[in-house]
This record gives sequence, structure tokens and C-alpha cells, in this order.
Amino acid sequence: MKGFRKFLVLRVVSLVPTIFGLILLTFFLTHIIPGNPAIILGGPEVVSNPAELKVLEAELGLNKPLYIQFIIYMVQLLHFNLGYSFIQGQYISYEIGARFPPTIELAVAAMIIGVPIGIYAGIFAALRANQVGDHAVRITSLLGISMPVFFLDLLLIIVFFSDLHVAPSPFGQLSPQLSYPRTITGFVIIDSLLTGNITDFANSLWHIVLPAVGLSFAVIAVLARVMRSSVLDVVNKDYMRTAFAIGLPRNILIRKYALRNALLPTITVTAIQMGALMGGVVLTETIFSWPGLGLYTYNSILSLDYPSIMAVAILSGVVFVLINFLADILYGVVDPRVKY
Amino acid sequence: MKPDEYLLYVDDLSIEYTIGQMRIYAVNHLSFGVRENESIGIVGESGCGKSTLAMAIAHILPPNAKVTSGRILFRGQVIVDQSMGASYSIRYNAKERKIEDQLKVIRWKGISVVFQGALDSLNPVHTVGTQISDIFIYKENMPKEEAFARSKELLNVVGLESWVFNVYPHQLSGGMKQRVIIAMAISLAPALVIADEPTTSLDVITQYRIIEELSKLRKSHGVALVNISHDMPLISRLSDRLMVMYAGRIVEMLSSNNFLANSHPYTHLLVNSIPRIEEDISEILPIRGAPPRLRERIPGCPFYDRCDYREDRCRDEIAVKLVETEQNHYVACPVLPKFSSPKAPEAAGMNVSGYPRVNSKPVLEARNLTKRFEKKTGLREIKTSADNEIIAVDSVDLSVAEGEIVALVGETGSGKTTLSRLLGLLETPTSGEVKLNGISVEMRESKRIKELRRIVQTIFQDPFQSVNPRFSVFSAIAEPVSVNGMALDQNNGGEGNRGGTESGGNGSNATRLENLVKGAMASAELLPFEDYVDKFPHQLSGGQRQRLCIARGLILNPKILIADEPISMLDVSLRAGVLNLLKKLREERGISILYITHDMASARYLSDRIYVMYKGEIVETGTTESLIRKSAHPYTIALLLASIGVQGSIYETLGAKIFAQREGSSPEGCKFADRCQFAKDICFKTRPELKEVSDGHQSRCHFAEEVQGKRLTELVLKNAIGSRN
Amino acid sequence: MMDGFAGRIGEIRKSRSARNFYLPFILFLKSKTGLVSMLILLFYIVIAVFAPQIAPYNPLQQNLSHSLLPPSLSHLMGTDDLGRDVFSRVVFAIRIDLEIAFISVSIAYVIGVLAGIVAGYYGKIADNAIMRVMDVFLAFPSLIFAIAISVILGTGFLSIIVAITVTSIPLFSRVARSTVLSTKNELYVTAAVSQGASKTHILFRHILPPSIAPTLVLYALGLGGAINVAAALSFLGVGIHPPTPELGAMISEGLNYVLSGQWWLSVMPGLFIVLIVIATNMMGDTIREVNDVSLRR
Repeated sequence: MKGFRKFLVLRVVSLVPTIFGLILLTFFLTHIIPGNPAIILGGPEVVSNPAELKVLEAELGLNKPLYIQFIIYMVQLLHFNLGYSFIQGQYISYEIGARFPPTIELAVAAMIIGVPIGIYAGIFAALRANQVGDHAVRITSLLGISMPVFFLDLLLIIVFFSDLHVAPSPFGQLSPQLSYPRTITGFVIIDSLLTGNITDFANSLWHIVLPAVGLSFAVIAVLARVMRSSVLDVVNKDYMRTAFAIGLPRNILIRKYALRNALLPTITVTAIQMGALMGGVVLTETIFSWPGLGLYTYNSILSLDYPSIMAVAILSGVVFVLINFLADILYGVVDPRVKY
Repeated sequence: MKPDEYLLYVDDLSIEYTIGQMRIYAVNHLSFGVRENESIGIVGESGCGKSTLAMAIAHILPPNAKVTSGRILFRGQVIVDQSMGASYSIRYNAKERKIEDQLKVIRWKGISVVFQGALDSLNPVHTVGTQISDIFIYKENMPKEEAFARSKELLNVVGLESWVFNVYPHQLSGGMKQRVIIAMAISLAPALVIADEPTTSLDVITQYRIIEELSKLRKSHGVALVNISHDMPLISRLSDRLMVMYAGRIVEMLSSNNFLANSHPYTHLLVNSIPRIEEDISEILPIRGAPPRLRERIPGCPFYDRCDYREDRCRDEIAVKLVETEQNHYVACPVLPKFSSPKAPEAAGMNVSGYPRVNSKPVLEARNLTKRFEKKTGLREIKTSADNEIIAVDSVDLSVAEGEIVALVGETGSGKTTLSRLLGLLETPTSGEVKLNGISVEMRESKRIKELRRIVQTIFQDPFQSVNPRFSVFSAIAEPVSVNGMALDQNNGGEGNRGGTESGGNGSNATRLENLVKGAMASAELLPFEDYVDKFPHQLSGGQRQRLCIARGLILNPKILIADEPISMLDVSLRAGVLNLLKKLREERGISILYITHDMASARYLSDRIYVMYKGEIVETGTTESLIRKSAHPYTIALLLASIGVQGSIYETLGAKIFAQREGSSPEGCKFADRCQFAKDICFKTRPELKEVSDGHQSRCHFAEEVQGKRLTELVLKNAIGSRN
Repeated sequence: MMDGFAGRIGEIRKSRSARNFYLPFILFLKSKTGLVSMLILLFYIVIAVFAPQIAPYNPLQQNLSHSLLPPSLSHLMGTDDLGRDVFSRVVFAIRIDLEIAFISVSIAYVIGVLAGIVAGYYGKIADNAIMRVMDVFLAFPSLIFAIAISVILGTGFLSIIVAITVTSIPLFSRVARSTVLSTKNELYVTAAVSQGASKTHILFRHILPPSIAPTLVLYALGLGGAINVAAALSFLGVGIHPPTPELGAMISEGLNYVLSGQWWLSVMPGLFIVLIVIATNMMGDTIREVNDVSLRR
């Protein structure tokens, strides 16, 4: 495992320039492009009041040279200080901390639905290549990768809420008549379970289904496509012919000898899909009034709260980099051919 | 022939493939039997249907293969016929399940397969141990511990150490992988083992060892063997009977120890189109044309188009029937011609003296040439120290004189390809010097390099990848002219290009270019011009592509061609043509050739002098006959003996050690010491220098004279020829 | 790029190699998916070009007495809350979305592919510099990055284009770089080097032609992706401003009426997004397949 530790250290080291680049880029976006960053950072109100603008500029250190500004910016970020929102009159990290759990809940639910179904659909299609089942999966996944998530959400609401009345009203994590459980972890589903509030628990599960399904559709579609071609690829490999010639039992043949290889590409693809999911979350939360980071972003857009938007951008960037990093490590662990 | 006499009986088998709209008739009405304990060699070129046949016996053809007639019986039980097919399928319906149930006791317990180890025949994400023990666990319901123990035992049986159990396939060398596959094949003690090209793409010495291993196991385990190969002499060592296949049919069946006494024109040409190391022949026979692509059924003899003895009756359906001419000798040829003995051995060294050497001015010289590479380790690592380097080419001195053909012989990893790239001006040496026409090459001076590149041209090993698939034959051959365009205009005089006569010069340039291409194609025997000029590479056979590459190499009129394994990727019947072409080019144009190969036999056939390379060093050099008959380095001897396939007393004198392949040698001593039977203390301490043993014959061995004194190769050569006649 | 002589070789033999050149196009149109996707794209282009002729009403014309009418013969897709004809709005929205998609993806294609080729072909410093920058761009989830850019630049047509271009460039350069890298190691390139071919000759004759198909695949996929992003941005209010019709913005505007049963306000524009994105995805898949096949024949 000595090689592995070295591999790990090298991967961690290689994160540094990317994250540094991320910070540099957001700094560039907030401090250089807009001309007067005070307007961006302070919101449109300050523009009308030159005196206030001066004060703000001094306060933000905008009268200092650029590189000093950058250092200040970096130091703040390293202290998890994502800045101050003048519009909300609050430190952004505080607000984001509160908004994080609902989003994680939603994203995890979408992955729990999407990943297994996507993988299974891909295998299902590959084992029936060019038969009816295969065509059905292929057409569905073509639809899945083509459908904007907010439009899909809308259709889901029309069908399952408006027409069939099986889904709850698409507003938030709980029905309005219920009160939220005491905050322990911040995750409503978990908190309601921890406080023994079964009504809340059932209700929150019921509420998360529709947005999670909407979010997961793209994940399913992409994974099904990748998995299908990956399985077909593996089945034609020489080592599968060897396994067939040996006459291994079919479930061993497929599960142990084909799928392990076929699943490798899905690791990377799943990680990339998580990035798309983060974008999708903004849209889905907007439609379902889900009180997470996505809705926060939307509200910030409406109120032109630039610092908050930039905070979300840099945060999601870092999270995405970390996800890709984990996928990289996982791939290295699972595929023996990756050299450490 | 009665089915019940045989362990395996193939009865009138036909198999077709469907690829899109296209049909390929891979196996056509083929019948033969294999007795218990018998070993059969199936010989043929790629595309002759031999692999299809083998995979059909194992019932693992791809799903697009269809059995259209006949059946295969194993111990009287039908395992392949039209309703069962011969394919595997990932789909699983009631029918497939029924077939698999029937095959359950046949698969691996009755018939197993030794796949080609160089392919990914082993699963890359499971350890070798898992893959072997899974056979016991899932086929025999053996408990895990017992299965592991048995697997380790098996690895020892095929000559591998126990640590192999815990590693992944990609960590093993080609030869070791092949052994693992052999271990898997014998795991359930099957009655029949099919070996599909078991030695292809292995090194000569490893090939020899695998063949030895298989024949040993065959004796100790009492299995019947079906060996598939394109290499008749090699496979004849392992087989009792040989079956020669052509275009999906058996054209001849004969006992393998007298395969030289063949009767079918195809067999005859196949045997005589390969230079054999033990015979000093002045000419090998090329086979014209290329094997049929089997897109349609061929009535009558499939070899008709390429045969020199054909008659009208050969086109009758009856012509393909196998007829017993002598006991156990079946031939499918109605003519049965008497062959004129083509291999009348002429005086030794005939081919050398045959070419008048006007002067021996060196065209290409290398002095002290060294190339080191940094070891590549997955990620960007901190590079330092010497052990992170691979010395691919280690202080090589080499020269090729005007009009001379020089062979450079070495195995995979010997550095011969890197050396060829250095000499072909494709790589910058770490140190040392390359001289072309007496001019020292400085890789940094790109202008000069461009001129020098017209002196030396390289023919690459893989003709399928060395031509841009988007280029037509014409544009591929014309490309060197176009990249050297301006210079060529001046050289060829004429009105030139920069004068005012733009439009006039245009036309004459076009015809001049066309003539140049025509000339190059004629020299490379890519004729007639009109047939090929507008074709694309994928429409050509391997041999034609290699001729295209040669034409492209010739169009700049170079002084020397570097031919890097030019025939190793070609079908057997096409090799002779390319070898003879190279020979002819030297005779007609006086061009020098550096012929790089792993094959001593073709080196002997073609070259005037030979360099033998081992781990980046030249270990022996001399004139061809001297080096082969009076080898003075143990490694050369090992190479020669492996390619002849010696057995018995000489094998013991040399010791098995010499054929072993072990990694790592002492940094100071002789690089070959750890494999050498004759090694003494000094060999592990001091690195030997190249020293002269006779006129122009040098060996890098402390005991060169002693080794030469044993006259081992001479003895073996004599024996080999003696046993044939 | 090529000297006169080489150029003329091309001319002399052009007619003879024409078959191979057109083969991919023929194969593309012969395949069902290729033809269908091509027709759908043409359909959209016709709508975009002839929007004023096709639209029966002025897309901005409000008529409060006709608000929220369901689809009928006089209003094929009904009317919205302000009584504007949804069909006319969709027609003009397609025009603006197609404009955004073609302009931004074309710019991204040119910049991205060039950067990728330079990185892949010249390697070393250029490669490291270019790819590090691209890595940083790719480190953001693309929609969120696009939101950030649009917000900073101030919303509108131009900033959408910049946002989509900037987020697509890395994809193009990655693909271009990887095809260049794999072609660079082909034996036939080594062969050309050994014949004395110059770097530019190799670039234009050997490296560029095989890079076209994979980047075209991405171009097709990118068109759909761009429409998706443009719609998403406008949906969130950082794209095209109302009252200018845009498909995503129209979905957003209709959102409040969906729950009260006036589904057509949002669903009609949504369907038109889905159809064009499906077409571009099909197109990308087909180009990929055709390229594989035509090289093997």
C-alpha cells in the first residue's frame, strides 16, 4: 500500500492548482470584470449614494492594490468566510450553512434513485441488444438527456399533482400544516426520524419523491447509455470468451466477470453527473420551492445579491472538484491496472 | 472414417458469418476426427477458417456465426449442429439455457482451450489466483481453501512460482500469461485441449519453451491436442498429424514428421515460402495473389487462382474431395503435380557473393550510440537517479556499407526498434553519433535533417497503421515528394517552378509526379499501376500495403532502407514476396538495407552480415554464415536452437537455464550471465567487451573462443538437415 | 500552409479520392436517425429564418380581453396571461434561441478546437498552460458557472452568449486535444516525419482531418446543450428579459398558471426545447457512428 499512499498524496497535491485557479477565477469575476466591484458586492443601492460607496470601498479594501485584495480574498476563503451580503444583512456562510442540508438531502435522494436504475437499465438494454427492451431504454434515455430538468419537473407536477393528485403540493419539504422537527442534523428526514415524529418523516419522504425523480432522470439516462455501451464492449472482450468457454455459471459470468469491468467507466461518469446535478438542483428547487441552496441562488438572482451567487459558485466548484477527486481515487482502488 | 473411433469428430461442418449485409463463408464442408491422446496441428493463414473451426469445437463462436451444415461430436454426443449452433450468447432464453445445460459437462471438463495469451484472454480486474480457483469453485463445487491450494499446485506444474497466484494479469509477461492460460486449460483434466495460436506474438525462445511445455503436459496428462497455428515447422513439433487449411477447407492431411513430403501445391508453397534456418536455400518461393476473402462460395479448388499447376477439372466440385494417396496422407488435389525441387542447395554464401560489391563505403554508421528513457510511472513523479532510467540502446557500434544487406536480430525489448528509430532519424540519441554518407547527423539542425532524411527511409513493421487510412495509394506514395517538393523540382532540372511559366510547369510537374509514382510502384512490384493507384489502404492486403510502404520509401531514391520487421505482421504466403522484393531492390538498385527482425531464418536468407542484440547491446556480429555456423555467443546459440527446436542431448548440454527468461542482471557483469550455462565468476563481475574471434566476427563474451569451439550450432544444423533427409 | 507543389498534388488526384471524402455524409443521410435529426434541425432553421412570415400575430402584442385562451384554430397554442399568442411567441423564441446556440457554440468551437489542437500538437508548456485553464473552467458545474458569468456581466443576449461560450470552450478543447494526441502517435505520422514532412504539413494533412468528426459530434451536442442552458438561464431570470420571447423564459412565465390548469403557457415552449435537443443528440450519435463505420470500410 506504499504505492497507494504516494498516489493519494500526489492526487491531493494536484488539487491545489485547480482550487487555486477556482479562487483566482472567481476573484477575477468579482473584482476585475465589473469595473467597480463595490457595486457587485454591495448591491445596486449603494450606487445611488457616492458617500456610502466610498465607505464600502474602504471597508472592502477595494482601494488597496489588486494583489493585496486577492490575498485578503484568499485568506477570507480559507477561513470559510464567503463574504457578507449587504442585501440580507448577514454573513453568507451562515445562510449557506442552513441551506446546505435540504440540498444534500435532495441530491442524495436523486442519486439513490438514479444510479441503480441507470446502471440496471443499461445492463438490461445491453443484454437485450437490438430487441424491444433495448429500444425502449435507448429512446427513454435519449429523452432523458434531452429534457431540460425544469420542464420535466413541470410535467411531473402537472401529471402527478394536478391531474392524478398522488403527489403533494410542490412547495417545500413538508406540507404547510406540519411544523418542522427540532433541528439536530438539519436534514428534515433524519431529524424527524430522530425526534420520533413519524408524520413528519412520512410527509417529508412523500415530498422529496417528485423533485428527486425529476433530478434523477438525467442521471438515469446518462448512466444507462454509458452502461449499455460498456457492457456490450466488455461482452465482446476475449476474457469473456474465456469465461464462456470455461462454462462458469451464468450469474458468476455476468456479475463477477462482466459487470466489474463494465462498471469502471460509470465511476467517472457518475462524478461528472453530480456536477450537472448541482445545476439541476437550482432549477428543481426553484420549481418545488425547496428551501435549499438552489432556491437561495434563485432568490439571490432576483434580489441581485451578487456576493451570495459568487459564494454559491465557488462552493459548488470546490465540492465538484472534491467529487471528481474521490471518483479518481475510487477508480484507482477498483481498477488494478491504474498505476500508482 | 467412422465417428465412433474418435474422441472428437467433425462431420461436414460449414460455418458462415454475417457482418451487416455481408456473408463470410468461413468453414466449408469440413470433416476430420481426433483420437484419444492424439495431437493434431491445424495450419493455415489468417482468414482460412482455422480459428473459426477451433472456436466452434469449443462452442464459443461470436453470435453472428451460424452453423449451416454438419455437426461436431464429442465422445459420440452432439455438441454443435444447426439447431444448437456453436456460439455463445449473453442473452439468456429457454433455448440458450437448454444448450448450456447440455454443454455443462463438456465445457472445460471435456474440452478446454489455450487462448492466445497476448490478447486479453485473462480478466484484467481479477487476480490470476481468483481466475484459476473460480474454475474449481464453480465447476467442481470445491471449497475455497482447497481450490486455492489446487490452483497454486497447477501454477507450479506449468513452471510458475506461487507469487503469480496473487498478481493481476497485466503484471505478467507474455510468456507467463501463456503459462497461466495453459494451467487453466488443464485444470479440470479435460480429454481434449484446443490450443489457439499458443505461441503467436511471443519471442522465439519463449515460443520454444511453450511448445516444450505443451508437449510435456500432453504426455504427462494424456490429453488430445488440437493446435492451431500459421507456423507449420513450429507446430509440427507438437503434433502427430497436420491438417492444412485453405479458404475454409482442408486441402491436405499428413503425418507431421514428413510434412516436407507434401503433395498439395498450396502446402508445397507454404513450406517453401518460409526460409528455414536449418537450410541454406538461395530462393524461397513467393505465392502470387492473396487468399480469397470468402465473401462468396468458391466452387471447386479454392487455390485455383493462385496455383501454377491448375487444370480445368480443378474447378469441379469433386476437386475438393480429400483422397487418400498413401496411408494416412489425404490430399484434395486432382492434379497431384510433381514438384521440381526448388530448394536445391547451392554453394554456401552464394547470395552474398552474388552481388558484386563495388565498394564498401559505409552508408550508415553508428558510433557509441546510446539512448536512455525515463521510466514512466503512472503519475508525474519526481524524476531522479539512474534506476528511473531504461537504457534502451547501450553504446552500439554498427555500420551498413553501400549495397549491403545487414540484419539486426533481437527479441522484444532488446532495443532493436529504438535503435531503428535512432538510425531512421526519428529519435535523438542520448549520446553517440549517427553518420549518413559520412555526414554526422545533428538532430537540432532541422534543415540538414530534412535533406538527410532523403538518404534513409524506414519501412515500418505494421503496414496497417503506417499508411494514413484517408490517403489513396497515389497520395500516400506521392506524399514524400510533396513534402520535399521544391528540392525535387530543382534536382530534376527542367524549367523549374519559380520561373514565369506557371501553367506550363504545372502540367509537366503533374506528369512528372505521376511518372515518379509509377516508377516507385513498379519497383515495389505494386502492379499494374491502374489497379492500385486509386485504391485506399483498407482495400489492400497486408502484402500490398507493405509494398505501398516500400514504394513510398523508394520514391525519394534513398541510399538505405531501414526495414523494421517488415514481414512479421503479414500472412505467411505473402512474406516470401516481400523478402524477395527487398533482395531484388538491392540487386537492381544497389540500395543498402538494414533488416530488423526477431527471426534468424529470414536474417540468414536475406542478409550479408548480422548483428545480434540483447538488452540494448550488440552481443555478436559477423558475416551471416560465420555467425550462424560458428556462433560465439551463448545467446545467439540459444536463439538459433530455439528456432530450430532442438531436443535431446544438445538441449541438455546447453541447459534449460539458457531458455529461461529472468529479469534483472547484475549491473556490473555480463547482461546475459544469469541465463548462461557457461557463466563463471568473472561474468558476474566484469562486463565483457566486443572482441574479435575471427575475421569480422565479434562476440561480447569472456569465453567467446571456448563457446565457439563447441561448434554447437554447426552440430545442430547438421542434425536437423540429416533428420529431414 | 501547403506549398504550391503539394497543393497541386491535391488537385490532380482530387476527383479520384472524392468518394472517400463524401462517404461519411452519404452514410449520415442514409441512416434513419441522421436523416430525421437533419430534417428536424432544418425545420427549426426555417422557423427561425422566416419567423416574421410564419407567426400569425405580433409576439409582443398584448390583448387582455383574449388572455389565457386554450389552444384553438385562431390561437394554435392558446394565449398567455397578457393575451399574447403563444404560437407566435414560440416562433420568435425559437429564432432567438437558435441564434444564441449557433453563435455561442460556433465561437466556442473555433476557440476551443484551436486551443485543443495547439495544446495537443505542440505539447509541453502550451499544453500545460491551456489545459490547466480549461481544468479550472471545468471545475465549476457548468450551469452555475454560466449563472455567475451572466450575473456579473449583467443579463441579456450578449451575456448569455458569453456564458455559454465560456462554459463550452473547455469541452471542445478537451476533445480536440485528445484526438490530436492519439493521431500524433499514429505510425503514419511517424512515417511522414521520416520522409521529412514539416510540422505544418503533418498538422494539416494528417492531424486535422481525423479531428473533425469528434468535434462535429460535440458541435451537434453543444447546440442542444446551449439551447438547454439558454432556456435554464432565462428561466431563472438571468437570460433574455421579458417581454422578448424565449423558450425558457416562457416556461417560467407560465409557471404560475400551470397549477390552475392553463398548461399550454409552459408546455408548448417546453416541447419545442425537447424536440430540438433530441434532434441534436441524435445527430451527434449518428455522426459518431458514421465516423466509426466509414473508417472501417
